[in-house]
Amino acid sequence: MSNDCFRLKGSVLTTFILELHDDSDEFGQQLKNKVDATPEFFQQSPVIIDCSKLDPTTTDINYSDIVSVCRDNGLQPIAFKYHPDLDLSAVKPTKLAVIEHNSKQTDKAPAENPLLPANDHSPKIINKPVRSGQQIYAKDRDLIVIGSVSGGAEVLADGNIHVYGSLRGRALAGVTGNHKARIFCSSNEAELVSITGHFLVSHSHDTATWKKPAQFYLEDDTLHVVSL
Amino acid sequence: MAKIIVVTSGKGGVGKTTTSAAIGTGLALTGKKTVIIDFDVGLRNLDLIMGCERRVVYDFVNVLNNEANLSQTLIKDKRVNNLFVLPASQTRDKDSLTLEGVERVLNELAETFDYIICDSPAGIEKGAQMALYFADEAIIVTNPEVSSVRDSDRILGILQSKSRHAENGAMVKEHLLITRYNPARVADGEMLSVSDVEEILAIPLIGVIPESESVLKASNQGVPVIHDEESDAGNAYIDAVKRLLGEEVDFRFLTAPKKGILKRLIGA
Repeated sequence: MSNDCFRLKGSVLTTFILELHDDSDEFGQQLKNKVDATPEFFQQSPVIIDCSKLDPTTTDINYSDIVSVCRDNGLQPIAFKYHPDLDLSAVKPTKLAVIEHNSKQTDKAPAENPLLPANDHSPKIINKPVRSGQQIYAKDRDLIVIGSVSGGAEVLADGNIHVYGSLRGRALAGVTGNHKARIFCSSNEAELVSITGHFLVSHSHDTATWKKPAQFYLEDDTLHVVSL
Repeated sequence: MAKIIVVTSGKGGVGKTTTSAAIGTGLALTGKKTVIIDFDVGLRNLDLIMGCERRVVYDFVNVLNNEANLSQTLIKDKRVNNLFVLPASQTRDKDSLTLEGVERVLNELAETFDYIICDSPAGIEKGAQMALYFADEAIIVTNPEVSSVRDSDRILGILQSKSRHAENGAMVKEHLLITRYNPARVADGEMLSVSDVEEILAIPLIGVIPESESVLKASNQGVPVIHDEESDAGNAYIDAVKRLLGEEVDFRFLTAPKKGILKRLIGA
């Protein structure tokens, strides 16, 4: 056992903050009304008086009066939260603690993690064939398939779609409305191709690109297919 | 450590059980201790193809439910040493299979066997998923026609997403086995060619089994076709087993035999 008479410990307390907006004569009455509404709730509660919202140019604030008003209404002021621009000497006679208002902590939004870009739009890359029955969706980005997309498979992207293999299944680009999205493939054997809902099915394709490298794009609300 | 090989296809009637019996027998003939498990609970067929249907006492489901142990249930092949069959139940359904149970049985088999062949039921539902879940390698049996090829493509997708290896970020080794291949009909444009199928499925080819009357005869007699050394199909399976074991073997039976002038004249 230690022979020390005391021990200092860190702790976090929950207290009321009395945020003062206006140092007028009405303060006393308004506080009384508030406390009288639920007297039990405020009974001898510790309170921190926050003066940081007061106009920093005011000089004639009587801090002792504020403390007295609080005590008369059954509150126990324990400290002043204080704007750094205000004159500290006026608070001293109250003999209460002074907490400097930390504007950095409360007023600014949390800094973004510099290691993570806010919007990661790097393409989704699939390194194996997309088989019949599989569905792959690249949200908010391009989709790159290194391999073929089988008949009965479906690839979707909010951006462009690149298929480095045969496109035999369905490909839907710009599904959330990007009219500039395009679809590229090494061999066009697609069942269905769609950009923002404008679609072509295989029998309506331009036969010149069938089983050849091709790209699909939207122009004047019409889906075009051209050889690469 | 035993190698677990699933024989699967998606589509029914393409020759999974015939292939399981032939490949299993072929592996055993090379001296590998092999067991073939019939996962087609409710539609038990493997025992017929293997010719051991009269010797089934207990079955796979009995072992899963701890109603019988493996040594009581495994049926030793009469023709080949090192070859065993674990028959399916004919009276239950696929719901009798559980991942935990199947894993326990496979682990127990893996202690003594070199190869475990899982004969998958058709479809992509529970039975097929149970058969492929623990596989290290897969033999995809495909007929040279479009619906079979598409179903095989579907099962390949399931294999690489819903198997144990896939869930652990690894790959199941895939082999393509084309059955009922008829070179004459391919030449006439009535049937997909080997290269057509290979192009769509994009997995390595392990064998091409020619369409042959000997397969049906072998099934009805309960003798795996690989025992029929006279038949093209039997020889093609022998080649496939060699390739499975890592040997390089040239493909045979890919072209139609040329008809002699006499045969052409009599129209045979």
